[in-house]
Amino acid sequence: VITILLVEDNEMNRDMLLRRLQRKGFQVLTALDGEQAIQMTQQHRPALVLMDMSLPVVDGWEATRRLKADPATKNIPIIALTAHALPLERDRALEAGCVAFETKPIDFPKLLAVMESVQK
Amino acid sequence: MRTLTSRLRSLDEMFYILIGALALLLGVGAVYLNWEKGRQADLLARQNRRAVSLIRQFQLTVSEAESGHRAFLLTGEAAFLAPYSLAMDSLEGQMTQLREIGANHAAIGGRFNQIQKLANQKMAELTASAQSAWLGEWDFAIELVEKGRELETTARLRDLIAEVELATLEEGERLTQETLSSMKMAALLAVICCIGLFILFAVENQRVAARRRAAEHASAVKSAFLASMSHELRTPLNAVIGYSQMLQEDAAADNRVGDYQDLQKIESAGKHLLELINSILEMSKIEAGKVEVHAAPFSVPELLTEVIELVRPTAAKNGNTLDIALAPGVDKMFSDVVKIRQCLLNLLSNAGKFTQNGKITLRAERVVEGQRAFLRFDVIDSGPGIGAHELALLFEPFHQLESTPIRGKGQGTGLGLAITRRLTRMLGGDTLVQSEPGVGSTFTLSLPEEFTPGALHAAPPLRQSDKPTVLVIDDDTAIHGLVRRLFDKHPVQVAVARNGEEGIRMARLLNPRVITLDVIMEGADGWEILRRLKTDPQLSCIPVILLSILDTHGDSRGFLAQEVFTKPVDIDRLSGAILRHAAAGRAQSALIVDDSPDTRGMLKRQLQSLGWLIHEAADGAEALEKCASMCPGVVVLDLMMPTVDGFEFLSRLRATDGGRYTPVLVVTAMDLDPAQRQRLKQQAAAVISKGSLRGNDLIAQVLATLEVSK
Repeated sequence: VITILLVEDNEMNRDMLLRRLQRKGFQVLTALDGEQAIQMTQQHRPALVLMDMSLPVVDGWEATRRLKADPATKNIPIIALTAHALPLERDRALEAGCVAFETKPIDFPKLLAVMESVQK
Repeated sequence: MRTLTSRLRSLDEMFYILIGALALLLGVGAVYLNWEKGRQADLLARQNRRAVSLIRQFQLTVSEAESGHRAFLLTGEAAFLAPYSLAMDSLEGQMTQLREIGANHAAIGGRFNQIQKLANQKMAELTASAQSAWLGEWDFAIELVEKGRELETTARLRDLIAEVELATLEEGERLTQETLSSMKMAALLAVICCIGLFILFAVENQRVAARRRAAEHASAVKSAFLASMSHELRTPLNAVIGYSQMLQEDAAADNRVGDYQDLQKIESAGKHLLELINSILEMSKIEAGKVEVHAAPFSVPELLTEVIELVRPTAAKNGNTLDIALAPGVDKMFSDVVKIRQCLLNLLSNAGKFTQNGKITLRAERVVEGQRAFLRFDVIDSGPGIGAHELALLFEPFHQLESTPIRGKGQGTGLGLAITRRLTRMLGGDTLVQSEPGVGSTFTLSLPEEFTPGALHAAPPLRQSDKPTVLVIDDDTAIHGLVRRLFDKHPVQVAVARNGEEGIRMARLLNPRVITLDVIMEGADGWEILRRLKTDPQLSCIPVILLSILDTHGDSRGFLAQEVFTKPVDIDRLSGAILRHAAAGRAQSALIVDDSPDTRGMLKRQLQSLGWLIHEAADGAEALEKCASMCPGVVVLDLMMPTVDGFEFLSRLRATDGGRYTPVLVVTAMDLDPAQRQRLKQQAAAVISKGSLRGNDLIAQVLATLEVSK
């Protein structure tokens, strides 16, 4: 079973994506903000992190930077999920250390494909 | 507005330039005045120095003469008289020099005269005394000296000389002071000007910077608003689309078909909203000028194959077939492939959405227009077609077709065509449409083969359909129906506009052969619409038939219209008039220009059998007016006329936009010289001699002229 961490502060979106991913057979952990995300990643070492970028406490960019700076977690791929659609946002996410970037509303089949390609 | 602001700005600039020039002028003036003053002061100072040195020398000469004279008196030795005589000789010359200086020296001139007088007196005394001694009258000579009269003279002379010295010194000082203070004034003035200019400049800079900041701020606020709006809408949409997809999976698993279909609708509504948000973002980016053209060479056939494959699934959904028709010569293009792909996808997906079980063709051809080559992409569908009155609004943002099955289904954004047109215009081309209800639509992208930055969109015009169009501008729907029924059996297309604005838009788009216009419409001034139709260079040549409930025959505003009908209209007469204008079109009306009414009448009778509209003009000036307002299909022109003759008429006609290509047939009794012939060869279609006209010759010539000019 592949464990992934879903970081999302919006309750509905978290619930929806959690359940859809569970249906696909993933074990899904959730975090509500950037700080929790760092803590959970360090503690559980998921295979993959799906990171919303606009988050309370510590935002997604900062959380990504910190995880990438930590030797223990730097190899865990992080996929940015954001409702910011401008091309600039993609660059920002990749600069922070994300391996891929998906805009909301999520194209679920595409997300699954990206997740698969990232794990390889 | 823009020209107004730029004019205001240039007024501002003029103001600053004026102020600057004024300051410069003041500065230069002050420097010149000071320099002049300084020069005069310097001149005066030199004169004064010369005066003082002369006067000292003068004094020395006088005292030398005096001491020589005394020594002679004391010793009686004639040798002592030598310096005396020498001094007496040179005094004369020195006095002349003093007189010269005194003449242009007001302050000391008077004193010089006194000095001279005293010196003369002194000399006279000395001479008298010396002569007495010489004659042996020593007593008298000594008495003269003893009396001290000459001493008195010497003292007065000395005093005067001192006074002169003092006066010149004072004058010099005064001048220096004056020069200094005026220099101070000039410096002060210059400093004030500089400070003033600096302040003005700084204030203006501030204003410009403030305006720029405000504009930048407004633009930044708008961008930020759009970005955050997009973000805020996407977040709930993510839930809407995600949950509905999830539930669709459930419904499909449980085989609940009804639920599945409803959930699909929710999903597609969500996706539609998303599309809308994307389009709005794109539109605002285009409008903010943030979309850049990235031109590069690419292969057109490859692009077309690629887009066809992309839209094949959508087209197949509605049971449509999809074909490419590639004309020979279509190969490479230098333009922005991403934007062209987007435009083609948009047109193709529109065609796929609106057409059911039909045929969609993507056709490409290369068209050469003058110096430039264009690529013309037609997306042809066999869909429901678009009514003429909707064609005009098609490219307006958020306009969606009223009469299509797609409306309300949440499939279009109303921005796709607006974006497509803007993108093609950015690339120097245009997006055009032709459509016939029940037959289908053709959307055309016309793009320069090679993108050149800054080129205006100058696409070749759309091919006009062969059927002439009648445009009915009327708020009375009964008239729409009436005109439609009138032309059921005729090869005439009827387009209707329900108000004047729409009418003008449609007229621009459809280029109708004739327009009927109700002058009394609700909420619009038909007279104003008439005026706008007739003053628009693109539209002014379209004949207008006025319809009105009131009798407007006497109204002078109606002179712009070709015909006037009062409602209720005589159907036969109206249809006759419309058909005459529509079928005749531009090519089949003629203007006869001749100063002789008899000749005009004769020519008119000959041409009337053609069934054309015949206009007449008595000279070149009137003919030019008629050409502008009536746009005749052909002009039959006499050369010898009062005021503006045929040659001048031709030159002026060829210089107008509307008259550049109007065929002109010259009918003249003049013997032409070679130069005149050459000139007519360039400007007229044919020249025939008046005397040679027989029977139907004129008709044959006119028709031949039209044939040649086609």
